[in-house]
Amino acid sequence: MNNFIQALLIGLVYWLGTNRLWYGTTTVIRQPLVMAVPLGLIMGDIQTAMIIGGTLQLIYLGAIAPGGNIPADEAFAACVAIPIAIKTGISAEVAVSLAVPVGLLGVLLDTLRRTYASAFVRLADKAAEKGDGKALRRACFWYPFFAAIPLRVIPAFLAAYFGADAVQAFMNWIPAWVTNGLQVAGGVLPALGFAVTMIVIGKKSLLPYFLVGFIIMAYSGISTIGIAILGLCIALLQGNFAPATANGGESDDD
Amino acid sequence: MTTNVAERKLTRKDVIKAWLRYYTVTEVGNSYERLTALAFGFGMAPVLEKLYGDNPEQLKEAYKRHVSFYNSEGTWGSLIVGIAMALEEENANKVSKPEYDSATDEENATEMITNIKIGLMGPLAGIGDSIDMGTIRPIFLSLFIPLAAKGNILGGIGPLVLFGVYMSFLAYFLVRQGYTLGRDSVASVLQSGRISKLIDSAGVLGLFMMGALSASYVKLTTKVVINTSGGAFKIQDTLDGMLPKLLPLAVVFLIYYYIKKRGPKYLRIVGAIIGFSLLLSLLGIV
Repeated sequence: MNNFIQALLIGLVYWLGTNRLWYGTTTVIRQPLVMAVPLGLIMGDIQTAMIIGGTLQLIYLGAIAPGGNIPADEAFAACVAIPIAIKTGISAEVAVSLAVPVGLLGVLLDTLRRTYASAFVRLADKAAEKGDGKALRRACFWYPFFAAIPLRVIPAFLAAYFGADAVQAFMNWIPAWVTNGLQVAGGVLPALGFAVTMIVIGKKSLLPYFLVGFIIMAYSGISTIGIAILGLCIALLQGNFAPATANGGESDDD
Repeated sequence: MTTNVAERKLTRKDVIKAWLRYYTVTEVGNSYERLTALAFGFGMAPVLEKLYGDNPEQLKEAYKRHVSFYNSEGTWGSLIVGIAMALEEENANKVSKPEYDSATDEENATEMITNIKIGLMGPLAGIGDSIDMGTIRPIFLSLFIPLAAKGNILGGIGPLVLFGVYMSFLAYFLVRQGYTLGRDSVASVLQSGRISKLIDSAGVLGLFMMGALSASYVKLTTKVVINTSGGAFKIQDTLDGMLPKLLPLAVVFLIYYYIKKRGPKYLRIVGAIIGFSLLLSLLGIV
């Protein structure tokens, strides 16, 4: 597949991940783990795509969007990191270090989208005022839907089209300690995802359960499914036998 | 004013169709100005046209009500969509009666619809964000990360399908509940202890899993070796003797407390992680 078509398809994948259709899947389809599937198909290397998607996913595990404000654009990070890693052969850890700052840049696109959406609000108000149901539907859905297509496709296309060569040149140029440093950073960055999830869950008095999970895993190394079942049992016991923690005071989301 | 007094009744199909519309577009028209208000209006439009179709003035007011400021989490917010439909239906029947006096009654009834939307959207967003987005979603994703790490395509398809099915059915259930039970029952559920217990259990599971996953996936070791008269002495071995993965644990808590104290400054944290990693790498420590 030639580079141009490949980059264009990557642009479409990014739009697919961020078009926000169907609420039940919209917050999952944009995750690197899921984006890795179409990106791997386009790049012709599912296996590498999945490995990098899985590594990248760890950072964004707990990132929720309270009030709709996304803290980082994990879909953009995936669309940049996965194709570049496949093309240049850099390791998953290094790819992640490069992708995360890019993911923060992607937030700008969402800021732009939600700013220009004010125009659709004006149109919706006008339509409601006139009692024009068709115009109301256009302003509430169709206009924002179509406006997002170029907004999403173009930046991801440009990154995919020009990105790999730039990264390759960069990797050839930098000294070994930098590569090692990026490698280390890639191993540490998932800690951010876990810390954010802990904050989101918010119950400080339940924090010892984090240590219980950590220590069991650090010493035993049992499978993820095994540890999830164990965690579920503990959660059910907490639900059945412990009094509810106080509302408000203890939660962090104030 | 028309004198059509026939009972205005939404069918089950009307309710589901409105919810499908709302749930499809929830975040599409999101703006800083009104957040997800436009999706609410888009979902309600056909229902409002059915209820107020013979009364253009009422219809305009109804349209305006449902493009006014609104924001909640989409799945739990489906409950509000259901309630709003029940309340609009009630209101439409009231205003179509011949003895209806628009000067006094209308204000109160329609104000109540808006107030209920505004009153419920915050608490329900809190539940949805903490349970579904903050706990269930990371767990679904993390269950499939090991598959992805082996290069298996199911690692990516699995969470999409499972979480999508879970969320969609929950939202469907909630919109039906909202429409059938109306506002009173929702208020009572929110006040009962059951929800806070549920949030606790979800929190326990979430924290436990985050601990377990931190131990598997955060990687940090030190290369520092101290040469003593008794031979080379690796710091990492001593650390492993105290608690395996001690450094990853320390890093997670460091970031956790940093965010608690200084707020979610992700850019700064990412910059610091990369900066320190490069510095320590240059010094030969990691």
